[in-house]
Amino acid sequence: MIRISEAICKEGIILNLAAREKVAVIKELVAKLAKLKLIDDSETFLSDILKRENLESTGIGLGVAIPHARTKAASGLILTYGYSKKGVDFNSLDGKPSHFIFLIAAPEDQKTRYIMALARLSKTLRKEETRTRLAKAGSAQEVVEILKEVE
Amino acid sequence: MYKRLLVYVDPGETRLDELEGLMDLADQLGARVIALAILEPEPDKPTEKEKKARDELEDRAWKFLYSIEDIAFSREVKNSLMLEEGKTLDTIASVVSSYDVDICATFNYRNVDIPGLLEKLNTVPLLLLNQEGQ
Repeated sequence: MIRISEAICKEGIILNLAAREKVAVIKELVAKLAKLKLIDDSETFLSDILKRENLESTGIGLGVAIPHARTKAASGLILTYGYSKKGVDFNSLDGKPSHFIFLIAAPEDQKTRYIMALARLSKTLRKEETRTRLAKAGSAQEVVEILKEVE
Repeated sequence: MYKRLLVYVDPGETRLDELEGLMDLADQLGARVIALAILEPEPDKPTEKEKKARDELEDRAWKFLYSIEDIAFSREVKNSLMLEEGKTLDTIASVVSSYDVDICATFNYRNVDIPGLLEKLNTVPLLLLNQEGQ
């Protein structure tokens, strides 16, 4: 079973996203991953994430968005998180801005693991307790601890 | 004309290939597929066993929804996922009304009273899918 608290890249977490628009937020998260050398080809990575974003509303409501993709630019499961206090429009069906933005990517041949991670994350973030606590998190370590406790 | 196509799915009673016809239709119409799964309301004081069972149901529902998304993506069909909690017919009707759905689709599930659903949908057409995915 995939544990989000173990899969998440703590160093990639951004607790105060500077960007205010969907594509810019995704670029900000991807740039951090590239800086940490967790992805080799950030252009392909970004392009694959945005391709999905054009067809899907990865804003799943309740202030949560999960941009994601299977891409050859990922050599393993990559998961990171950004928090936007003001919120960002991710075209959620409920029309509300997204504050909790989790970015997931996996290699193209890891479909099952990728879907399990998406399901696990979506389930965890549907809990109000998770969102309330994440909104107050003061450090990346605290984010990991919260996820560990709630999942 | 038909821009939003809602499909209610019961992950325990549906195979992914049964959604092929729906994807064809969405593709032809250029419509967005909104895949909806519904969890029954949680009891007021659930037992540990009930909590665990519900947890597993939710996990299975999300996996199924994301698998639908993956199929839609591979066919370049626009899509959105929804997991709601409530009584089945009321929840479907509420989503149809709240999100300006143009066509509602589902299968002939045991827990779906089709005449009752038609009544709740009012003028929104109901598309009954069959097990051959048509």
